[in-house]
Amino acid sequence: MNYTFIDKKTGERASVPLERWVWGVVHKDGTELKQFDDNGFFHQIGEVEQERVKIFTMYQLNNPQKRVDLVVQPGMKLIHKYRNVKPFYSADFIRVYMFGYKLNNQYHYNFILPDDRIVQSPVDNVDLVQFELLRK
Amino acid sequence: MAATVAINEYNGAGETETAGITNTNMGSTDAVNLNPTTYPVVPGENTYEKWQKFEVTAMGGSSAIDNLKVWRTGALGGSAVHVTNAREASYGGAETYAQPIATDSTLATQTMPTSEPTGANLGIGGSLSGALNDVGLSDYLIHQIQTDAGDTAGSTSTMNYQYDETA
Repeated sequence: MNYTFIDKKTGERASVPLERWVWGVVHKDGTELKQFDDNGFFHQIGEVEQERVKIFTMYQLNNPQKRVDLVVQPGMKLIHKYRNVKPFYSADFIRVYMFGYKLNNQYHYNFILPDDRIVQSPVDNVDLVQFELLRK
Repeated sequence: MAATVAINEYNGAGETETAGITNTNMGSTDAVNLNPTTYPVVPGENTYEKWQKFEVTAMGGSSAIDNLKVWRTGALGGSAVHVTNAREASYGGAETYAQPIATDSTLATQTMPTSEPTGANLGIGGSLSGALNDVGLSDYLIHQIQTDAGDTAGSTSTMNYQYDETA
């Protein structure tokens, strides 16, 4: 299924296919914002108002059993990116979902691999090539 | 779609572009996707330089591409060295294309990292902290393998490429 992204600056639209892992946030007032929302729209991480967030969740939209919840503390800066690696043993880029936070000048990163293993690290530069990224 | 990114290679005097290369095999000819057994390097000589770029052809709802990194897995055998213009400090900025050469590269002068660099080591717009917010290209990645007369012929390409995407 494809979702619609509307660029708020230009008004241009883009079709965005559902990712295998997606993010969602629960605000302190109980409202939610989902990367791929229930109305068919795609939201960028930059739309998240971090000071309002109570829980940050990474989950599989089609498999509710697969999820990781992060309880957000005051002062926590959330991080979410796609890390795309083209290891020497692959002709294509492979996507790894990267999320975590910075708190009190300390970082915590999680990397969700293609086979759903989760690698945790206090540093950003984890050499993901060593994790057999073609394994599914 | 999310962002669409490929590695392009440039060859010849005319900067012939090949988009979306499938390998970065290096040898004794200036050609893309070459067969290294057809174009082996005589010990003591160099491969032709590789001139490559990351290219973003669609943003697909993402807002930024940045933090470009290149490195190889494992060191070369013998005293051969893999050299590059990619570096985390004293980055030379965006280079201007010149036909790949097999003499010692004057632009690829630092050893290719053998593990993931701490930060970006290839720039965008001449800067390691640069980002692409729309379709576009990175700076040139230039690299070359320089061998020694005592080396044994034969090496497997183990180049890794990586970028971050903010969606």
